[in-house]
Amino acid sequence: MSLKRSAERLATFPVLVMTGFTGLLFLVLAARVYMSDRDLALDRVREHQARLAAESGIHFALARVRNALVQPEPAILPGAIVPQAFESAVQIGRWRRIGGQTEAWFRVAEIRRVQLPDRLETPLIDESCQLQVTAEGRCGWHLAQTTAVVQLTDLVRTFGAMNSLNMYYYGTPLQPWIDRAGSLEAFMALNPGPFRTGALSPRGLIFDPRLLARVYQPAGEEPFLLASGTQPVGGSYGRFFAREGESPCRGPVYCQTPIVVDTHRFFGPVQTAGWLFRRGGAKPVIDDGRTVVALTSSRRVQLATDNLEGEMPPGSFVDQDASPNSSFVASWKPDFAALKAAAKRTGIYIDENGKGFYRGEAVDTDYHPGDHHLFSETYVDAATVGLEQDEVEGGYVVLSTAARYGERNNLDAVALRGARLVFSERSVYIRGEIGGDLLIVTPKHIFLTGSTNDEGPFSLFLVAGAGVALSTTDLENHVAEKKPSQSFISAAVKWKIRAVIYKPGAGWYGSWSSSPSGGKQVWPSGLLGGRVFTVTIEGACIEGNLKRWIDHAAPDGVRIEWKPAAADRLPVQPITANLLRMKTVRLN
Amino acid sequence: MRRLGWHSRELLLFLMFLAIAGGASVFFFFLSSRDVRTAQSDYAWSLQVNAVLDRLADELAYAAQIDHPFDGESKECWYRRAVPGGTLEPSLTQQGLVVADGMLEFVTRNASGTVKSRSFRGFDNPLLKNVKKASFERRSSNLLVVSMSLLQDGTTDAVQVFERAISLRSR
Repeated sequence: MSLKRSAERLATFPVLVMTGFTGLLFLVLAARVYMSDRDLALDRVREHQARLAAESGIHFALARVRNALVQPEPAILPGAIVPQAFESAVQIGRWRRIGGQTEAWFRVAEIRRVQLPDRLETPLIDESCQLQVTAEGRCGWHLAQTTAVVQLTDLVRTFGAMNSLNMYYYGTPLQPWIDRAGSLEAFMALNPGPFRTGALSPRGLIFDPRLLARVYQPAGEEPFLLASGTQPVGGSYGRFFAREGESPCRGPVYCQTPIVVDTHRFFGPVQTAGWLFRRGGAKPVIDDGRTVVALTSSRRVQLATDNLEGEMPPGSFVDQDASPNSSFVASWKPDFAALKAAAKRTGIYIDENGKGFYRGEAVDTDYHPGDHHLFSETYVDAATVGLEQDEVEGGYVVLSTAARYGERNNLDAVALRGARLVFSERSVYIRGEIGGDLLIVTPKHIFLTGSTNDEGPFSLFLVAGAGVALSTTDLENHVAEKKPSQSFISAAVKWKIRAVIYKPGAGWYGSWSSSPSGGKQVWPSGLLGGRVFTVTIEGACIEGNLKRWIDHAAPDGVRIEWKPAAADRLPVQPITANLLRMKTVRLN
Repeated sequence: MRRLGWHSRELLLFLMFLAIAGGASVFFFFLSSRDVRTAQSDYAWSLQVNAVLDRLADELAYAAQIDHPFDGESKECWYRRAVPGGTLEPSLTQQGLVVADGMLEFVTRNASGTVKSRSFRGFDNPLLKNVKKASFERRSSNLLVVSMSLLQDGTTDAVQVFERAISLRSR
């Protein structure tokens, strides 16, 4: 019996093993068939992720390059841009993981300068300031490589006004409708279409040429809807907008916003990241009398005029050769923390009490600290309801010379002792000469109280986080006390600022300014009268809103005389980096 | 030791193998049927079209410059590859994707004229046949949508639409 059982067991065992393995084989086959599509899809996703990782490496390098460009030490000079300046910031060769859950990695493999000469026919692009960045990305077994060309633009050497005339040439096309709607949100709720399609951004930028034409046609209907019962604006924004006459900038102009002009005279090429729209039969000209406006380069003008086609509104220029990458120039923003640290180490640092330190050691120079509480003129902003007015409160220091302090100069060569960087925690009032090439930085306001650096040979760069404003108070007080002749006053209201200014147009301040009552307008007037000042900036302007100065200066009273070398020898050069071209290939 | 009759386990095993053999026969019979062969050829055709469109999307995404369409919709697309070297400048030669006589063809245009290339990145010209409708739509400066309506192989009315939204890197 036991023999029979063991014989049966011996005969059954291989059959069971075979059956088990057959079942297992079927299960595995089923699982494999079920998962094969998923694996194939995942493999394609990984391939795509490897490409995206490589492209992330380029954007990572670009962010690090931009950060390196605003560091005061070591200053990166436009004429001597070398890849080594960026290698430590980018950390060549180090693999970095993207995100927390993916298995994609990237590394920047190489940065090198593209050896090309600067072409004279493209004055707004310096071909000799291009970097080639190579990055690699990997995900699973997939490996991809991206090669990109990064364009460096020295803003002062390229443009006279960089984004400072945006509002002057574009205006505030949404503001009347936002004002009547009660808020930006209410306006967007009433007009969701253009926002949904991307024709219009909440900042008021119009990306669609047809909407641009509708908004700016002088005889157009109201382009936006209002709530029932609301009083209409009275036509398109073009009815209230006019831009004739001459450009305030004697040099190349760059605007991130669309440019809308009538018969207008420019004094140099004009570049916009948006549209250029000339209304009706108007003929904008450059100072050489040609009837077209150059976008990016004169070669492109011909293409633009040759290739007008499709359903573009009459008067708009389509530059088919320009691409968003080449026509967009990134904004420049100073690194205040780095500038402060550098001023403490190598320059003059003025603390919150108005006390100065030269290379970390206290100095006895009097910077005339004081406290003020001011209101600016009223103005209209792009997407706000009613009138805006700035209020400034806090401490200040007075630099260079001021009549009320006996014209003693606290920025002469003796006081500066070779320092090229002054950082003030307080707002700065400035007028007069300086004793050396100087970068003056404050996270608050800089108030210009008169002609500044107008005679000396030195470079001056004014960087104010809250903007550079005009203050007429000192001059008004001087006139009230001394009662000078009319010829003195006529000369005293003509200010010449020989400097590069970051964020100009932060308003007007004077003895006339006060808190508005009931939304009334407050404009510069007072003892000297309204619209009497002329401000000539010899250098360049970066960012800001010059329209606020232009609105209340004498007619054609604000002028930028472009000086490409105005920022030479300074610890920071305003240089920006843009991604120009990019190509990704698989490496395996 | 002599055995008589079927043991229950043997019967079970026999039935199981019989079921597997029967199922497999039916399955192989099903595989060789006309419906499955049609479905397989449709799938292969669809894979082929998708592979071509993927390669096209890859090519257009990294083109150094898209010359046409600049705005709106067109039946043609003209672009320039980057020249060899580090500057990634657009080549003087234009590459084109043109739909004519129901076929999508890859052509090259230079100063001396337009020529039909023999192949495009491993695919023979014409890249696609039986194209009923094709459009290259530039929805924005960095978005190109390619849409192709193709007649399925061996049919006269079954139209399948393939679409690719391409994010242009060098816009």
